[in-house]
Amino acid sequence: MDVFTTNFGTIDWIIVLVYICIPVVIGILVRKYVRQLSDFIVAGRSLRLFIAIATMTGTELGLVTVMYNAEMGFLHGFSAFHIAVIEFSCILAIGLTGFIVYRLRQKKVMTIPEFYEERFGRKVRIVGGTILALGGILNMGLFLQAGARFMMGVTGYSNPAGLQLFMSVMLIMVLIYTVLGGMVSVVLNDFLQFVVLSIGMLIGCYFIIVKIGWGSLFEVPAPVDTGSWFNPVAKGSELGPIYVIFMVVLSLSAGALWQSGTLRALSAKSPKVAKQLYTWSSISYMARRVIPMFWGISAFIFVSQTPQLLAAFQGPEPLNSQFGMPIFLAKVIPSGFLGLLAAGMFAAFMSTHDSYLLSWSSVITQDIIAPLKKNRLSDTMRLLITRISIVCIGLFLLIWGLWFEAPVSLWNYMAVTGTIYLAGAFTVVVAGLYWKKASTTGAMIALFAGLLAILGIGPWTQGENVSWYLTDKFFGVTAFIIAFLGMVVGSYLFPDKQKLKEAG
Amino acid sequence: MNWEFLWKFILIFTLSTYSVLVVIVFFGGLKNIVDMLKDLKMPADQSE
Repeated sequence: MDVFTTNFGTIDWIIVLVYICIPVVIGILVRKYVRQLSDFIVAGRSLRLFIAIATMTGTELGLVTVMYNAEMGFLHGFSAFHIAVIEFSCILAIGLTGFIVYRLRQKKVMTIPEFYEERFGRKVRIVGGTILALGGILNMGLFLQAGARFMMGVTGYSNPAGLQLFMSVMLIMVLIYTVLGGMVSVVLNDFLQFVVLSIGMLIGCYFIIVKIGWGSLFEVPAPVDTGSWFNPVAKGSELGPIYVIFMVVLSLSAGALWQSGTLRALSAKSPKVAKQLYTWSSISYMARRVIPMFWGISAFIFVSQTPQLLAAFQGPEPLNSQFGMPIFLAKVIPSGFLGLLAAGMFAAFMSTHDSYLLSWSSVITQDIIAPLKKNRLSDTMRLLITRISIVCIGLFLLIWGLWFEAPVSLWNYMAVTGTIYLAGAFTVVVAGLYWKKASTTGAMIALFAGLLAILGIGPWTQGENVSWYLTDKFFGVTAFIIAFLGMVVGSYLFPDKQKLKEAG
Repeated sequence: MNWEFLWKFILIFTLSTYSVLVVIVFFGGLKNIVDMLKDLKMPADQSE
């Protein structure tokens, strides 16, 4: 069997091409609803519960999400499911308690750094905004690459030039409708994409279960270790206890403070809706992990039973493991359904991209440029800067995606680059909301501590038998610990003068 | 701990609850969209 053999046919191409025009049309139609900056960034804070759930899922369940989770399943088997359980528990806990999101929504801020300024001053906002934009844009640096690999795997287009072609076309489509319609356009597209993608994913699961067989799904494939296929902390597992701890702090902080997700909570009609949004979304957060991981696991079982494919993935010049799931889907899902699934996935790609582009560009405008200009920018100028930022970030993504190959798995790259922002942000926001003694110096130290995480994508993390203190998970956990200690020590040693006066 | 049983349960739980959520959000979301567009249009209409 040829590696890139696919069921993807003409009818599937037609379905995909028709589908990708829809968001652009919506972007043009909703322009009339965007009159001011808050309409563009937080949809006028008018999101009700169900549309908020759809748009939050649409954002957090992107093609890249499907790709990195499928890769985790492909590489680590069912033991990868522990990430899904941890994330589900964290999101549910945030929803039930309102931890962070309730108070942030009450404050009516549009971005997290806006809160930094309110609590710690303008300098913290600018520094925090810059680190957020840096971590966030690096984090989405491989979105295009992963998306293009999915499309190549599913369509069977194995020409190396295909990667560049797919990346460029996908980027242009997203830029057009995000620049035009802002958050209103994003919300409507997210809803449509939530529906199409969810149905596509559930149908995909049906075909996979039929192909592999329910019983065979839980048999350990021959080439892997039995213990670590199911147990994430088994002896010899590449994951291990430090990784699980990293996932807990990462899921809690990202759940509450990942700008694109939090933007939905900040766009909610009321603080109560923001809480409900998290409670309900815990199910879709679990699904966004479990379903793609399940596809990746099934893909590995299929590959392990097909000698040509096994040789392609484990030979001297192995294919990137991200190709495992799309190549598998291309062979087991019939034509027609494959087109629907690809359209759903492409929709997922766009729904994540639009929200992330909007998130990071609004941070650049609101939290870096506007404070530097001492907030003397008009709404029109801010909208223009936001739109220009969207295009600039898009160009960066294209260049980074073509040039950079992550030394670790896609998810681990995402986790580490996310930590650049999250380690500091989580500490600063939690301390700012719940600890009166938190000071500006403590906040600055915590924010800069997050930058340590960037070491987790260095070339020293690559290869086998890497020392534990040079692994990405170690740098990730360390960044959180140092940020926390920095906040506590900095606040005690350098308390804010104004608070000292009030206390005195 | 029986990991295999746990992951089987998680898989079935996820597929079933997510299917129900999709149906609920689809119908609830349609109504929400109509209301949202009314909200966004309202200030301009009032000023006319």
